[in-house]
Amino acid sequence: MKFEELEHTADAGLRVFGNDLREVLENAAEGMFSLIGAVQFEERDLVERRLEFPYSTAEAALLQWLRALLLEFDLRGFFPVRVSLELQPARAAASMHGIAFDPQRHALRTELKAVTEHGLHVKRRPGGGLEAEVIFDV
Amino acid sequence: MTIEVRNVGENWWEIPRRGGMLVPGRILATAKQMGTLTADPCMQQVVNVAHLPGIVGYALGMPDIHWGYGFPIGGVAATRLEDGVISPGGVGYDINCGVRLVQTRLVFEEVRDRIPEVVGALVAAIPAGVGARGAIPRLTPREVRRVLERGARWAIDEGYGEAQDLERAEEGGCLASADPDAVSETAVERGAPQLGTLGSGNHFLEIEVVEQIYLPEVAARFGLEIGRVAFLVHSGSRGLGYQVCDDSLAAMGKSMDRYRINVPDRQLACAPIRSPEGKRYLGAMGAAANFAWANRQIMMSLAERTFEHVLGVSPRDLGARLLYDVCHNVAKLESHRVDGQSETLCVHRKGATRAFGRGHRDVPRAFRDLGQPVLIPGDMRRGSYVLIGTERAMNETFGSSCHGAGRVLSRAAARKAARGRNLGAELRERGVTAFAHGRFALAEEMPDAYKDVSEVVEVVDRTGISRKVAKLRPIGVLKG
Repeated sequence: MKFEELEHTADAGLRVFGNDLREVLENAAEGMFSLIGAVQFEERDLVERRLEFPYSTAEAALLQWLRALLLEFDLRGFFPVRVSLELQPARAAASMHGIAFDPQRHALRTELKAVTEHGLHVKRRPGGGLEAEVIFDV
Repeated sequence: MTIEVRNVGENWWEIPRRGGMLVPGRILATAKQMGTLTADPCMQQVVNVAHLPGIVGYALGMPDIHWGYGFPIGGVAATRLEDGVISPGGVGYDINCGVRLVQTRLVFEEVRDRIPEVVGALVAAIPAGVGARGAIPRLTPREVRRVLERGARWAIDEGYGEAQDLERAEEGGCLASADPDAVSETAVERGAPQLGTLGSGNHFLEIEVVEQIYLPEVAARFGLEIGRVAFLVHSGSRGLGYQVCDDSLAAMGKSMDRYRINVPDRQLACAPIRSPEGKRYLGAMGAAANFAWANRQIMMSLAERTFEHVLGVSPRDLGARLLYDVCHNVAKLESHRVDGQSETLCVHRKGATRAFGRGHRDVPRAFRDLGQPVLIPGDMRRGSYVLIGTERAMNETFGSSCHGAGRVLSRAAARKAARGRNLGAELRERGVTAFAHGRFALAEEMPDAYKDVSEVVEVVDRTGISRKVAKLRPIGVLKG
């Protein structure tokens, strides 16, 4: 399982899984956009964007990554459908393929106002791999 | 984890001080409501808020309290100007998310059959849902900064509403402390296409009929009359406010070590009110609040024009008049009595409503001998309330009251509960025409997802921090 939705009374949350931080970040992006909605697309509609960001901790990486994606969506309507990341010790580089969101064509689910720091964590799982939790303001 | 609470009066509960709490917590709730709250994460959030440096009195929870992020939703905390902090988490991302009630002269029985048509036209007139934009021509960054400076007045000068509306809004629809220069370019860019749009989540525009009057003299002064149509607009500062909060949390997160502040939740990041970070946030938050007032002002005006167009009535016949506009998410410097002395406090209201009593200079002149109108939206079926602020609220809750019904079901649980049901048809049977842009918006916002607003309002009425004036029944709903 890549992610599951967390129960939260007012807002929305995700528990995200991955073998390493790179996978957690990729799966978190997929999970976050699954909350925003599902879009139909064709390969020829996809555009590529790249993003780089520095990070200090796993939590900081998750926060900055999801905030950057949400900002891209809000400002430029970029809805990623495939992402891949390369992680260096203090810097991440992302390649994202996605579509230009059009509110007239794409009926989406809900607006995520923000990625919160409430209860945000990334921890090791007893059986191996990582698990993260993140709450979004809806 | 269950938090220890003890009953300290009818509908009053206390979380005693322990650990790093600087003050006790106080919750307003019936015994029945408290029964479901003790194991809820919102209780821990009250405890966390009680750790904020400079907090005075109590970390308060209104009867619509529920789990939020950082502060609980339905949380109130006041900090001393002198040595206290201001926390963006005590305001939230949707700065000045709030609600306004507009009354009309329309008689429900005369327009009952036209309400579905009005709802359909409102859907076209007021952009809502994910990515909503384009209610008014896109603003240049310079124009956005004028909105941030002027608030609702900017919208009125552009032809959306009338100058008299300003008297009927908290702070006159503009926080003078706003500093547009404290708002980042990114925030301005996010806000530019979104002015005049409803947004998503729990935001709505709802047509109501006045159903019941509890205080006839006050209702008459407020202009509320049984059988008349009114509408509520619930929205906030859209992406501009979210970005101001993100920017401020980042800045304050970095400065907390410098100020030797420790808080139990990173979402409670804060800075001394008088520090450069605190002042910058106050200025940016005020600017975002002004954007929200302009936003609601524009939507009110667009809705009025829609009523006129669909029903073929003149502005005079529609007789739309703003009753009041309140903030739900804001922090403001206010004067309150602490240990018998008047003191300037920074009152954080996160999912709470200011409820000033009679005589207060911030209550509009027209109602100053009565108290401030307090608007409490409920759900799409059971209705909403108009209340009035009291002096008791000034003494016990820093002039605050509840802000809504409060959720009981998560969005996922609500979707599950709605499976196999036709919520649109259920609401229609009860005389409510509902439209939602989002695929699951009706399900996630279904009436069962909320506490019964009447029970919540009963608590604030019985404890005397607000008094019930009138009940409104929904007849048309537009959701994001």
